[in-house]
Amino acid sequence: MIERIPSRGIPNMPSIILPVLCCFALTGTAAEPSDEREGLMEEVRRDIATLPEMLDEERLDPRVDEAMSRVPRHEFVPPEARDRAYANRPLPIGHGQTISQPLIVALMTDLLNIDGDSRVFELGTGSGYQAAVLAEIAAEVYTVEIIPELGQRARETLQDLGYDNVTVKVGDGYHGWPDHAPFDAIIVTAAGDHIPPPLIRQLKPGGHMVIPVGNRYATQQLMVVTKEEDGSVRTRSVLPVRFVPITGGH
Amino acid sequence: MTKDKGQRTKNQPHIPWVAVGLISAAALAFELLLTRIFSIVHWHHLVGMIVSLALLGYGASGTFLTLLGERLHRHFAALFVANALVFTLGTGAAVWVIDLVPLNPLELPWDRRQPFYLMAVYAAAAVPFLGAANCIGMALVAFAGRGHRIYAVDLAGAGLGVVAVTAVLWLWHPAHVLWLLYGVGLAAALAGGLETGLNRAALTASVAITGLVTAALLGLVEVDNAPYKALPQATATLGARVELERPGPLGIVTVVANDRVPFRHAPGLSLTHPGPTVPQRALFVDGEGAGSLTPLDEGRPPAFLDHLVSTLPYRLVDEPRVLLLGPAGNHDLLQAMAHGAPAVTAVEPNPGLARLLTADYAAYTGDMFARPRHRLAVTEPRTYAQGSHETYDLVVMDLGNAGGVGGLQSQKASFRITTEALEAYLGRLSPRGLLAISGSLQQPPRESLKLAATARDALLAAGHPEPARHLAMVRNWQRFVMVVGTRPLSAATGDAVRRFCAGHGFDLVALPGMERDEANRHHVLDGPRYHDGVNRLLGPGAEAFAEAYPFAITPATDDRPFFFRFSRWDNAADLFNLPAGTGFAHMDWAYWMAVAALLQALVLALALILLPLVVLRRSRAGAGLKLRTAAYFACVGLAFLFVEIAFIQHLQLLLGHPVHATAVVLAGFLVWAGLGSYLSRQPLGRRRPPSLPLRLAVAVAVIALLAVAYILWMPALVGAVLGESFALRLGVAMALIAPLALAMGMPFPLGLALVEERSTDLLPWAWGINGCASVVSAIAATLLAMEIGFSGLVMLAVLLYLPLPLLFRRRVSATGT
Repeated sequence: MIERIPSRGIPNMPSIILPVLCCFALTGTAAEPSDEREGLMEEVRRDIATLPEMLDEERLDPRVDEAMSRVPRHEFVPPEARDRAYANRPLPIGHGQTISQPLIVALMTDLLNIDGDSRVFELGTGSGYQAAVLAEIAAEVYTVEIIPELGQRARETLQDLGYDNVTVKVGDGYHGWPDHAPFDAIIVTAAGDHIPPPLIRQLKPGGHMVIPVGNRYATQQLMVVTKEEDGSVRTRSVLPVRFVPITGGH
Repeated sequence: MTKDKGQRTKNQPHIPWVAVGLISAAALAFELLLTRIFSIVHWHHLVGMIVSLALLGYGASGTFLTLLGERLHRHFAALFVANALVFTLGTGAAVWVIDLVPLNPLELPWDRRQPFYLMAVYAAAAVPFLGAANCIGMALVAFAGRGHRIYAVDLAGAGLGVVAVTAVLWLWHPAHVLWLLYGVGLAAALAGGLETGLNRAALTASVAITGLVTAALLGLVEVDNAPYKALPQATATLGARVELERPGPLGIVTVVANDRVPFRHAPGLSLTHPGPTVPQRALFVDGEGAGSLTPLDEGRPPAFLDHLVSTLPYRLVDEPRVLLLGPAGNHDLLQAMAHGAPAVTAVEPNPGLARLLTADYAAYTGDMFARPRHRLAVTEPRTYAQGSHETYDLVVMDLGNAGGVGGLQSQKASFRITTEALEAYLGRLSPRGLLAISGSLQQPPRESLKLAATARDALLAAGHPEPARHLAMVRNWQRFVMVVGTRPLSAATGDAVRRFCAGHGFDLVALPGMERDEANRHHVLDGPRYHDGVNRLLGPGAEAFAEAYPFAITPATDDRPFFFRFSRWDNAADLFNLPAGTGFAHMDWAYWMAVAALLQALVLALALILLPLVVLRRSRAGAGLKLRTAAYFACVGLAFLFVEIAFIQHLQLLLGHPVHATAVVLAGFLVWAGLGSYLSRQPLGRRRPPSLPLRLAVAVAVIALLAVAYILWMPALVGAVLGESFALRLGVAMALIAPLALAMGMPFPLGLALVEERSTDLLPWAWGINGCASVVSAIAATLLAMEIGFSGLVMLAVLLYLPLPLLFRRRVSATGT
């Protein structure tokens, strides 16, 4: 995947401006997005190391780590939030929606347990960042957004960045995407008050569905739905926090 | 600097009685209106904090008037009118700023700009209160000898303002009510100018200019929900349209329809349910999700209603007569209908939501209340349940409708979910009856555990010594339902609960005779946390468990009706220190914001109280007098609000409606206290009128006696008349308020008179201290009530009143010695 950063290609730049910009660059006030991204990933790795019980392993799946290291998060946030694009925090993207906290994106992607052959469905495209991370690992990603402006913007961003294995649709994701079902994994980033039954039907046996629970700025838990080979469904709740002192002595 | 009254009255303007009354009415009306506007734009956990701090404008007024010094007297007329105009202009500017600033409380932990936005909102909202308080404070200082009458007009005007704005908000959108205040503000300025003899041309010009600028600002204002609220997100969805929007006393009710991406509300739906749910209409109150309107499916309730966690009670009782407490929409009604309930009584506290079911959407929702034995009562569910003598086979309630979701409502008193409330609901059950309460799950468990503990105490209070035998609880990944009976649950009931869980893939949490390995099978946690928690709370050592638990799960009571408060001081640091801000999701934000507001108010109040001392250094008043003055007015300001707030909360239950309670109690308190102020210096028909300290001592003694009597007997009195008509309950409320408020209206004007005798220089300062103390009191009252209960709060107020007569016991010299 080719990385594109905002500063590339400045045609017809007046000669007097270029040296000024160069001076700014030389002062080192603005770190390169790739450096910031690496700094962010260091932070995510450190946080995840404190939560080995979340993932049943000591560290993040290397595929997830690599994917997140490649996706330029700053391309998915509005211009006014770009200076915070590589902070480990959720950011507003308009219409009351957010781009998720990178730690949560990492955990959710890891919990989906996908590989290069996977076909993934995402309910709630939002900025498109999660879809891009999935697209770095999976073969195909199908994503549906209900807010037209967000869906359109995400589609354009993903196209600009060359994610041609992501298909974005603006519409009702409640019924999944029957034409491309079944899916190896489903991620429901715009959870309502129940899990849509059509999504459970479209999940392959052995597949995982991940749903963040909580408000857009504070994920309380991650719910993992697993469809067994016999078609039965079980769920598992995992907390993105270690609550060792909060067991109340039981 | 102390002036002789004879000197001052020579060219003194007339007292602006009408203007004082109008500005007081407008200021209190604006306070209530601001609360409504904030509730629409933002979440109400933010409302109390911002409005309380904005009232520091009253405290700042004391500082401002002290700094004005002699100029206050020389330019009284012009300054009075100018401040009335500041109030008018300030109301428009404040709402404009609220509308403009991109404040998002959810981002407070993450975005360092958000605290500055919050401060901008505080500052803007404080300006109109500063203007109004300056008008009243100037009148009190300039006409000190008649302070008791001016204060009486101030309080009576404020009382009328409460009644007027509450009435208008029944009919008008708050944005439109702003125009009414605009008119009253300008009228106050005009009246003030005419009464004080200000130059007519200057008066007309200043009122006209302010009127035009304010009108322009108000024209820019759109009181809309902030983007992070549920309604704007729903309306941004493809195909969404607003079908209905109507203002009402409990908020603006909005109904949203969407044919392309239909709304689907099915909390607690089983993962085994094969089909999709039906498209519904979404309900919002003040932009927050408030349930749904579900249509009949080919004349029958939709099938999904049989696949919810909340279906459990209907599987345990055949053909039940049902009492629904606060259903918010028709979801619960259809669920009762789906399970063959022959009679349903729904108690809906919000008239706006009730009207949807009986008028606007009656046909869409199956015209439930046209059916025989189906009734709708519009009142507070607790009041209905406690006042009713009927019995039911199922009493059903959803915690989400009882006060909201945990973390956002912790500051809000809710008498619907206390130990006494559950005892009242159990009292409405038939012998085969069950009380069923649903709620959302949190991790780590909170609401479910606190509810179980509350049910345990209610069962014990109702004379059932083994609560564990009466209670069952079931959950899925997201929702739980608890059922409680007055008889121990039978083995057959236990079997039915197990079948229900097995059939729908739900998990058992609690059931008599349940083994631990029966829990945590379908929706797996890292251990059977819910089962273990409920078990501990229903068994021996429950108190020790609750004490050790990191969230507050001891039952709410009528004295401490804060079910949704889960914060504990001792776990705050743990949550703050969790990596990457992940602890924020588990914090009780409303609580910590109130604590932050109190700290801010204390710091600002202290600054506003100390600042005038720089000017007062030149005063002849000595340090002792200053200290006594500060102590006196701080005590009066703190104590008045403590009692008033405790009463507003307690009388909610009696009047059955939070808006009625707030309007009646607040207006009643203000008007009766105004009368008390007026009477405080009347000669009382005696040749030698009682001295000021004696009057004060009598007033304080009456307050103390009445307050203690109310603590002891009010709950019983309220319980005795709950079943009576609203008119009678209103009469009882007024009879309770009148004598206490009358006495409480006296200490402030008597204190002003006592200070005036010693040094008029200190009067503005005293006014400011009272204002600051009132603000601190309003914020601290709820936080204190959580710890010591409302009865403790009233006792604290009594303790603050008692020393007042000692502070100005005898005549002291102007040096304060």
